[in-house]
Amino acid sequence: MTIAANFFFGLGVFFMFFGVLGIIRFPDIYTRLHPAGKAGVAGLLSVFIGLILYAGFSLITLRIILIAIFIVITSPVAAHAIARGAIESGIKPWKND
Amino acid sequence: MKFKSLSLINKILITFFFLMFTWLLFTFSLDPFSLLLGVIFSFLIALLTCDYFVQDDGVIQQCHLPRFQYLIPYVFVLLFEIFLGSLFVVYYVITMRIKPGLLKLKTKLNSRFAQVLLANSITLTPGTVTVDIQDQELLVHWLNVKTNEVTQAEKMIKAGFEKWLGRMFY
Amino acid sequence: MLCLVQILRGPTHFDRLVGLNLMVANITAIIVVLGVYYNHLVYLDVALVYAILGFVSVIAISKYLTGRELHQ
Repeated sequence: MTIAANFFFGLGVFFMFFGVLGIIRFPDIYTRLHPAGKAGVAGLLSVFIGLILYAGFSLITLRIILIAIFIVITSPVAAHAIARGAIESGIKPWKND
Repeated sequence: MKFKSLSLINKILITFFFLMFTWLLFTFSLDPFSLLLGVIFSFLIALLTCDYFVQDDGVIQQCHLPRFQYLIPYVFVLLFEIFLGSLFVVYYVITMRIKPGLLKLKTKLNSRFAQVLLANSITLTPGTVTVDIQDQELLVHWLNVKTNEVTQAEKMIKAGFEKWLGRMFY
Repeated sequence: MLCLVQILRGPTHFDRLVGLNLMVANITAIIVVLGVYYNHLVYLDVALVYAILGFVSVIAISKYLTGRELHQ
């Protein structure tokens, strides 16, 4: 059980690291949304799964599941809001030609 | 099955039970004091915000109750797609082999709630972010454009989700 | 922590906002890990409220910036 938990922690840190790296490396705002929206959620989810495996079932687990559901719902909405704001203020998407 | 509009009391009751359920989930205790506090505050908040929480326009009127037994496979599909999508994003971050572009999709889903769910799940799939929803059309930013034809792209992006969502909100 | 670099660096306001969004997610994860480590429920409440506040602030700032002229 501890090994599985450690595996999920490692996975979460991996996703988080590459998410942040992607934010810095990508060229424009729309492409930057991809790591922010997805790698963040996946990193959080794997860290939470690892914590659930690590802590066993208790009240804490319930709370963690609540936070996870909240994050999964709100993170795409935030990405959507940012993208829409960017489109309406007229930023052109970057093209690779 | 058409309601003209819900009465005020119904609205308040729906909001009240939702808030009370959340409060019980949070505090997880059955003390009389915390119960009383929860009842008072959820009633006050329900009184103030029921107009925004339960909106009359269209959502309730075409409301067939969603079939919740399809929620479970949907959640599993969604989890799988999240991890797959993140792996793709990590790959793109390492190699920087990207070719972004915008394109429009059409959905068959007509209830507003299902469209929002579909948009959120598209955002979590490999390499796509939903930018805008106008009625029955989604504007999607794609990280790595492979085809330019619309039907092909539709098949690739929303293959799994629309099936399950269509079953939930028939 | 590299998110701060992005926030300071970004050419437009929206780039900074993306950095802020991811930083909120990371800090939520850190708070939850701390909460399980110390075995306190209060940390999890703090994490939840932090996530809600981050979400609301990102939405509010992006609404505020929508349709503004950009001065690079």
